Amino acid sequence: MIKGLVFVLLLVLGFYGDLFWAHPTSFGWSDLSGMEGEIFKQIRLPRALVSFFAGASMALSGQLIQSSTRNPLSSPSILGINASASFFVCAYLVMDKQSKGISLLGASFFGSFLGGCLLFLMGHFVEVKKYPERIILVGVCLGIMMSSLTNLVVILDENNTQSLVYWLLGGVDGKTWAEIKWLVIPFVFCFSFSLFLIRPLDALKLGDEMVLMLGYHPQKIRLFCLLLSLLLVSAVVATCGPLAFLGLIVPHLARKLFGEDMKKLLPLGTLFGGLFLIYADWFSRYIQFPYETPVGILSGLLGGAYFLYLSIKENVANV
Amino acid sequence: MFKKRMSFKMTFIMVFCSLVLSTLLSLKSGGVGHFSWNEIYHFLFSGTLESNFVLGELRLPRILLCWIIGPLLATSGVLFQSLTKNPLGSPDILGVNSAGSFMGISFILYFSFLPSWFLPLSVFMGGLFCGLVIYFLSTTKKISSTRLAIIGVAIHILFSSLIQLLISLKSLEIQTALTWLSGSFWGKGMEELRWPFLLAIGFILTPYFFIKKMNVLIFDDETIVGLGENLSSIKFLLLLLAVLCSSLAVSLTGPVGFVALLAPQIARNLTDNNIQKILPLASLISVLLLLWADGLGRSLFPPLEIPVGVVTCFLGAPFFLFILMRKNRLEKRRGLV
Repeated sequence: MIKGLVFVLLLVLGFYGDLFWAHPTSFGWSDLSGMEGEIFKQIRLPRALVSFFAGASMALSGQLIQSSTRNPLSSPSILGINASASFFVCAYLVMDKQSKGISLLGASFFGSFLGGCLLFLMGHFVEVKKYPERIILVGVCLGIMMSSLTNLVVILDENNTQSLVYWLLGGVDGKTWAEIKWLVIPFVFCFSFSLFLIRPLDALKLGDEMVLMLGYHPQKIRLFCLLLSLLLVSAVVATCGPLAFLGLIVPHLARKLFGEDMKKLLPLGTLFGGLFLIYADWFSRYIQFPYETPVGILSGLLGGAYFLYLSIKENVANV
Repeated sequence: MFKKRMSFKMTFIMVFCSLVLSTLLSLKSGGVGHFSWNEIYHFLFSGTLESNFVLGELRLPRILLCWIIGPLLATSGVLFQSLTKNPLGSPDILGVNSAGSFMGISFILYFSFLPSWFLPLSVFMGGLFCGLVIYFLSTTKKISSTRLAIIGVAIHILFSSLIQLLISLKSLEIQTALTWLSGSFWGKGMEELRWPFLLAIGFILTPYFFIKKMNVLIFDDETIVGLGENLSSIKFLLLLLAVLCSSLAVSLTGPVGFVALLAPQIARNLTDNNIQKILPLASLISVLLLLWADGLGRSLFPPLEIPVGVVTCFLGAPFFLFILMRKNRLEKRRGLV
């Protein structure tokens, strides 16, 4: 009960802070009319909502991947899916500067789907079924391949290098109402589907044979989780660019806060992800006030440090 | 059981011949101009290097750079692999190169008022810090080789985020910074390469003084001490040398990925487990890899030039997985799995 109250309070505080504080021109709740009201409605509110839904999508996707592969180190950015989606979006942006909306989403989904297929293929090569920890190395290789291609594209397109690099850092600034629906619709779709996966994911923790005995098919569950994650990641990458590491840190923190029970963990962890990104966006504005710092930098630094800590700590990676 | 290998002499001669051939091919190919074999012969033996602009100023420095960077990276890779006793140990995977390039980028973007020899120095400091951390971790018994690679990857990712932070804070010279970060051989003249060439020869030849002692690193620590060798000084010296080699390479062209990992592995496959044979062979193979990567980058889509680092990363990553797979199969065959 108390935890729930604290959670709601933090959520309200986060939204309030992101909407009203740490902006170059600050105003309060009371003078929300006229021009300030317009700024609020057209700029700040969509940005806060994009932060929330992007964070929630990445958190959900990370949770699905971590539960289905039973590997606490895995996340869409480490497995290279982020990198493949962003490569395709970059290539698409280079070819057609003004594309927005569904075409970007399509390119992004194609990229993440291709990344998933390559992951499977290369993992099969390295016999990942026998050595499950190798999926991380496979994912890292895929990530390196895709990001080298992305670098190539960015370097070759000299006119747009600056804006592309800025986009690649992953940020939520400057998002408008038009782009929100391409984030919210996939999120709502995937979230409702994942509610059906709560029981099977709980069962998956017990091992594949137990899952079969309980009546679920483990490979189908994994495939479903992966597909949902791919859709979520592609939605986030198409709107905000690759937000590094959110899919890794947030599930870990959520597990510490809410326990291991999927019934509570999945929905609450998702909300916690949204909360996390709202706070990250708010605090990232303090780094170079009054200039914008893309929130992807903050999440990359925090996530990188946390990933390092996790890989050094024993009995986490089961390697 | 064990497949019949060529004798070491034959392998060496074959690699050397293909190296000479590749050098000549590399001189000939490229996007800017077409030269016949006659002209190239003339150029090489005419006595002066200024006789031909494209060959002398554009292509020859790049080829010379391959010949410098290759043995540097290969030596560093072989030394790291022996030190960490891990076939996946190499300065790029273990994050040493990224720590060095982080310091290098901060020098380029923020401290360019200092004299230019500060660049190799800063890269070296970053690389040494990371190398010490990795070395410390690898001596802990509880860390398996895959986990060491994952830790190295974590360090690499952390420093890459730091580099991104730096780039975003100072966005005026993004293009230069990014090109440097992908490992590019572009734009070096013969004059700039003089000092690095001499330094590189020094660094590459130094391991050959202790090469007989280096073989002893195959064994574990107690055995080495039992054989009467001074364990910590050997290890520290070799670590220093490895970081020196890779920092010089990184400071010249930025981090070129995967060569330091693959060249020693290929050399190990072509000959037996003797460092006296692996080190020179790996150096030659790395030059071969770099010549081909550079040549491909220049010739695939003329006049576009793909940086060498991009080619090596793109082709090297699946090759690295292929090596993992082979290691897997070999272990199965020998009954270790």
